[in-house]
Parts: sequence; structure tokens; C-alpha cells
Amino acid sequence: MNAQFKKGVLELIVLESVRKRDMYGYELVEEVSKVIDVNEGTIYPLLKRLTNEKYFETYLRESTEGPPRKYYHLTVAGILYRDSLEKEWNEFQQSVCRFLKEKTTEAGGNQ
Amino acid sequence: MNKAVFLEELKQHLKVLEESEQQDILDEYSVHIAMKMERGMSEEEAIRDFGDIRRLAQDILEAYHLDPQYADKKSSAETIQEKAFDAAADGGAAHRLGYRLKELSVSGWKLLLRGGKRLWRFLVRCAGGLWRLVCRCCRKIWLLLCLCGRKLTGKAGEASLGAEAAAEPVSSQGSGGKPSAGMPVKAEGEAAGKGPEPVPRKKGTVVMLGDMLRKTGRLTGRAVRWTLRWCWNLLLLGTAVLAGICAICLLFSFGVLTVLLIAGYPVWGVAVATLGGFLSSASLTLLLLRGIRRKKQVAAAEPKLPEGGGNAQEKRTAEPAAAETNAAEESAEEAEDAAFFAGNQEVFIHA
Repeated sequence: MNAQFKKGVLELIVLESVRKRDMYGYELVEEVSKVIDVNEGTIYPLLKRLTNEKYFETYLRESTEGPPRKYYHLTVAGILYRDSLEKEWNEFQQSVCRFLKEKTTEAGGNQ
Repeated sequence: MNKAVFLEELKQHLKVLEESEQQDILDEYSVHIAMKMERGMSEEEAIRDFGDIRRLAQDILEAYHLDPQYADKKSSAETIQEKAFDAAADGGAAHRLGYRLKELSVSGWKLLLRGGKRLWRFLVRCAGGLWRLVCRCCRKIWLLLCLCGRKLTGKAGEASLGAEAAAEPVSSQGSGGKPSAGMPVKAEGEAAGKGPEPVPRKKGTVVMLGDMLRKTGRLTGRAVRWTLRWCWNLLLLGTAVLAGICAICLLFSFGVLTVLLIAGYPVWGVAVATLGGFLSSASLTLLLLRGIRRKKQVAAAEPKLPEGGGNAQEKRTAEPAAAETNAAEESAEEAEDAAFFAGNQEVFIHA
């Protein structure tokens, strides 16, 4: 899978995952891995950036299985940002699909 | 690599962040690795999934809008900066050192300037000495002619010689001021020596011949001196013009080479060479022009001075005045030079 494609949609997937429910780091990596293959090296810095930009809030919750875990929660700004990203993604995807369909029709017509 | 080493190395890269932030990040990674190990992975595998540590640290720092290259920049400049800070903390030792260095450089520059000025004055003096030598030769030739004339005319021409000698300083201005000062002294001395025999005689053809010989001798002497002076001036002017043209051409070439340099051609050496050449020719032009002006000023100043008789004494006092008016804007070293000139003048006059 093209790395640039993955890089482009990663933010949107992460924001959408956390919107559904609050998650901690490891959980989030697992969720995202269901959609696209990604490594922890990319996820954690992204989470840190989104947190610094106030799209996420973090809190610690005690766990039975070990040390306390840091949970990520989507803020209002985060929700708005996610919506705008989704809109952009839809436009982008439709535009590219339309373009690709045109090309195939042309090729078909020429034949 | 095990977990502790990984975390420690990551912490090193994140040193720029606040302690609490660092700990926060490390805790999260620690938990993540622990959970992966629970799922059955080994430490090694868990850590390998993070990828390159340095890359990881860079990405984390970018989240804070920090320059990831800062650490590399810092390590090289760190020692210098820290030393400067320590020095400043020591109560301005570095500050003082800086001052001393500045003073040294300034004094060194002044020394260089003074040395340059001394060299220039020495050269001028040499040129002056040469000039005086030439004038002395001319004077000797003139005296020879005078002697011939006197021998021809005998004692009768003596009176007219005295008159001529008196009229000398007034008539020979503008070109032979210095030598003529010496001449009247000598002539007067000789005239005074032969004074007690003032027998007036009628001017015969022989006397006329002697007069004419003397006049031609004087004229040729003056013409020779005049041409020599003008040749010297023209030479200086010509060289100055040449040097000026050279400087302009070199400046132009330097500009072209700079443009080429910016475009990416490897012409560093030639560019530096043209710059050097331009600076040398420019300074040479300025020196020569200054030299020329000096000569003209001296020549212009001279006739204004010995108006009242060609007295050697006046000459001696006039010389320092001339020197001082010429170099009014320079330091007190000029007064020394003037005294030296005056001293030399005495020597030359009595030669």
C-alpha cells in the first residue's frame, strides 16, 4: 500500500476512531490497523501533535492490568476538524474516481 | 535492545522538553510495550515496531513545532556558548577579553597606517633628495658658466654680476626657488669677497657676450628644471590614470565573477584575485594623485614665500611653514618632518 496514501488518511481514521469512543494508545493502534496497516512509530507522534493542537484531551484511568493508562478524548474543536477532514476526503475521493472513470471510458471508446 | 535502553535513549532525544512531558511520553510507550509483551511479543519485537528511534523522536518534537535538527546544531555550538556563558558569569572576563582584542586590533591598524605614512614620507623625501641633486647639478653648471663669463669680462663684469645676483630671486620664481636661494647666497658671498674692488668700466662687446652667455645658461637651467618637473608630474598623472583605468576594469571583472559565482561556477580564486587587484590599483591611484597634488602645492607655495630677497634664513623658516600648510590636517609628526627638512636645507645650501 502506498505510504503517501496511508499518511494522508491516517489523521481522519484516528479522529473517527476516537469519536466513536475514548481510547488509549494501544487500543487505538489496533483499531487503526483494522483499516490500514500502520506502525506505532507513526501513531504516537500523531496523537501527541493532535493533543498539542487541542483536538484531543487526555486523562489517566486506573486499570486492573497494570499501570494507569492515558485515554484520548475528542474535543469540540476535534469534532469540527474531523468533520472538515471527512468533507475534504469525500470531495477528493469523488474527484479522483470521476477522473479515473473518464479515462477508462475514453480508452474504451477509442478501442 | 531492551525496554530500559530504548526508553533511556528516547529520553535523551527528548531532553529539550519539560520533565513532565518527557515522563508522560515515556510512560505511554512503556505501557504500550508492556501490553504488546502481554500479547506474547518479545521485547525486541515490540521495540522494533517503533522503527528508528531518532525518526520517532523527530516526529514527536515536530508535534511541539520544535526544530528536530536543534540537537545536532546545539552539540557543536554548545561548548562555545556554554564557555561564553561561564565567562560572563565569572564577572565579565570574556567581556574584558573582547575589549582587549578590539583595542589590539585597533592599535595594530593604527600602527600599520603610521608605518604606511612613514614609508610614503620616506619615498617623498627620496624623491625630494633626487630633485635637489638635479638642481645642484644645474646650479653647478650655472656657476661654471658664471665663472667663464667672469673670466671673460674680468673685474668689470663683477658689478653687473652683483646686480644680476640681486635680481635673481625676483626673476627666477616658479621653478628654481630652492636652488636660486642658494645661488644668491653664494653669488653674494663671492661678490662680497670681491667687493673691495668695485672698478666700474664701460660695457664692451666681451662683457655683452658674457652677459648673453650667462642669460642663456640661466634660461637653459630654468628650462631644464621646468621640463623635469613637468615630466615628473606627467609621469605620475599618466601612471595614476592607468591605475585608475585598471581599477575600473578589475572592479567590473569582479562584478561579473560574483554573478558567475552566484550562478554556481567555481571561480572563487579568480574572484578573490580580481578583488585584490582592484584594491591595489585603487590605492595606487589615490597615492599617486595625492603625490601629484603635493608637488603642485609645494611649487605653488614656494613663489609666494621668498618675495623679499633670496635670504637663506627666510628660506629655512619658510620651508617648515610650507610643509605645515601643506599637511595641516595631519598629526604633529609633520612638524618633525619640517624640522628635518629645514635641517637638510641648511646642509644643501652650504654644500
